[in-house]
Amino acid sequence: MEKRIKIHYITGLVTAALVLLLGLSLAISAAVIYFGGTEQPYSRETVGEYLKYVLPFGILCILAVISGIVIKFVFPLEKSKLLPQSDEFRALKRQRARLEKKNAEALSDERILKESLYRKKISIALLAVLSILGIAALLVALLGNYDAALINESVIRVALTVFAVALIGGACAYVAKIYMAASARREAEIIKELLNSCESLESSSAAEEKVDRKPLYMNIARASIFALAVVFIVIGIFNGGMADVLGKAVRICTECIGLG
Amino acid sequence: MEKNLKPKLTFKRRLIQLYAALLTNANIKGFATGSIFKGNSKNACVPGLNCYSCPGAVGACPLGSLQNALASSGKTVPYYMFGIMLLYCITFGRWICGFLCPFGLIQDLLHKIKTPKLKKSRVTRILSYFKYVLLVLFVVIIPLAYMFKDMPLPAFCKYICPAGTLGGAISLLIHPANTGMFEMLGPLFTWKFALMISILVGCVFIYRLFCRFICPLGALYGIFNKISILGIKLEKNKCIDCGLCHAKCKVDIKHVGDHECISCGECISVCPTKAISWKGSKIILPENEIPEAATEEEKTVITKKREKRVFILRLVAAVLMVSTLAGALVYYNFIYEEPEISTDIGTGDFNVEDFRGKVVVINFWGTWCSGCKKELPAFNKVASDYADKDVVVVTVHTSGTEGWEEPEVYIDKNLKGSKMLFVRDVRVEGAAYDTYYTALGGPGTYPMTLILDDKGVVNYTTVAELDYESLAAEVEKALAKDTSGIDTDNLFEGYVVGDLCPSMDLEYIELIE
Repeated sequence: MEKRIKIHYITGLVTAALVLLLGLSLAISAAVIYFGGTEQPYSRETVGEYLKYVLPFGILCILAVISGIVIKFVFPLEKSKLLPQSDEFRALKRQRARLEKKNAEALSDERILKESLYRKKISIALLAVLSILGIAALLVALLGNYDAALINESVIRVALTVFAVALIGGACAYVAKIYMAASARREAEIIKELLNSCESLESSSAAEEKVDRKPLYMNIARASIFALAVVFIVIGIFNGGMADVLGKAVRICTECIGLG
Repeated sequence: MEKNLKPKLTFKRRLIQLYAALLTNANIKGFATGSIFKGNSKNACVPGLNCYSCPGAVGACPLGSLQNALASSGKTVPYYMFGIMLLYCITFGRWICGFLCPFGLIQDLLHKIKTPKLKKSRVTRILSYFKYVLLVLFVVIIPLAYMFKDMPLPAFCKYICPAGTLGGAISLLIHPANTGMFEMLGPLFTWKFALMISILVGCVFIYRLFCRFICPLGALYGIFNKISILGIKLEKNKCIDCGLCHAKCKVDIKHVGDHECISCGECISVCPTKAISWKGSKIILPENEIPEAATEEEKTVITKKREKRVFILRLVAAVLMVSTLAGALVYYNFIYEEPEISTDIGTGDFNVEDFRGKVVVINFWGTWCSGCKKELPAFNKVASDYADKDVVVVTVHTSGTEGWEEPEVYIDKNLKGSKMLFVRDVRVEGAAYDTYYTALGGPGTYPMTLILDDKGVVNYTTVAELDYESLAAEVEKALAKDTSGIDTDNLFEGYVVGDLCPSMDLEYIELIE
């Protein structure tokens, strides 16, 4: 079995080296062509010429990959032989570290209070953001009553865009708030755990007492965001947004693909 | 249990990934013809990262469309793109990354190459936040900032996206019909090519390197991952905190189903208490609730009924999927045809034949094309420098979709008093792309420039952006009737260098006084 591990290891290293060489040769070829000094460095002939130098690395790479596949089937490895890197080992290691951390930082009143204060601050921040967005939306609505000649049309459009983003942001913030409220239930569970641990040191399986509550409010939030998305799509179809997407998608975007 | 579940799940996931990649790139004949699909299905965005300049792409790229929508938000509020993104985010979250993204499939396959692998760590966890920086900077801020300059710039697509380089540039350049595109390759392509190679090589050693550290689309989907309808969920009442799911997971999750989770489902197979499951499964198939008081016979009947339901659902799903893919492949490759080019074009008062005896420079542009606008000043300068030397510079404007600035307004703002002639490329009703540009066999990229000699014969063509010196040099050659450097390679399908330029009636643009 040790021999098999060695074969796998060497195959892996050789393949890694070839992959790196292939990548390097491709990148260097592109750089050499570009910095070649001519006005129009790239042409089919020039690229073809440099690809001839890269081709051997490519072939060797493919051969290494194929041999890796063959070795995997011909000399299969048992997972237990790789114990130090196995998932089970890493899981145990992590669990041990967490238990040690948990013991060091006991479930204290201070911690619960800290978490509670943190959640309150988040909630206040979210409410503040929502209020600012609401005021901004009001201003945008009022701006529409001004003489169009005085206000740059594009500024109004940008403001409307910001409003749309604000609406989405507000919806997400509201959903986040709901989720935060849901996680606040954990507070009660932590207190429950504390009580349990005080009553019996052996009943550490607080997991058995955790209740899986179905978040109905989560489904309501999902449905609301879904409905908002559909409304936006319908508005977008009528205001030309969909046609814009088509107009861009049916032309080769030379910038997007690096031509230029 | 793990041995039985894992191969099945991985195989199913690979199958779905392949299916999604084929469906989003169903226009296989595009690779054969070297041209992109231009049909109406590109109104819709595909959920994964798939460049719309890829010859096989039948839908628009969500990331590219989002950037373009933001870049033109001064003209049209991008409700459509916001709606599409919200819909994908709330419905799928990062399930798209695990199952539907073609570039994710490429990364998965590359990672299968047998080499030493770099496993996740605290460093990779920190690096995973970099994609949010890219999302904010390259996808939102830069396009918005350039919107104010009236120069649409999809910054992530232009400077970073490897899917565009691989699926778009390389696929197009390979084809002989696109030889002319080599002229356009320069520093940008060199940078993008090197970046793409680095990412692809990196994916061999690091699992989903692009998805974890770079992809802004994944970053956006990840924000909604916890509340999305589909994905992975953890039932806390069953969880015993063994950490096997976390150890098994190859991406940088802190908890199952968080913003980094790509919902690949590998953790489901290792959970000893079956605490991890798919979200949304109960929508289609309610839980198998067997009453406690039921007899053995009743339990068997209920279980068999459920198994039958599962089988029927799977059969229906498989039939639907296969028929959709088959239908798409047949439609895009055998049924769909590009609208025929009619020769009866134009109802205007401009005809290039009227300028026989002069060298004519024809430039195709649009206010929606930032590259075109960048090179117009060079054409303007040539027009004024060669005004008394029998040279005419004609700019032919092709309109984009509604919302883009009208050419008269742009010309009034930037090219007032110019000696160039401004003409509109007239679109014949009923034909989607029936214009002078397509009649010349324009290769789908803008800008395009032709130079005709005094007999109306095409001397020079290019799709690269021209500066003043290059343009002036070609004009001088045409004036000197120097045919030595003429490249007679067929650049376009229609008319080639050495052919007489066809006569078409086009409309003069009425300039603002």
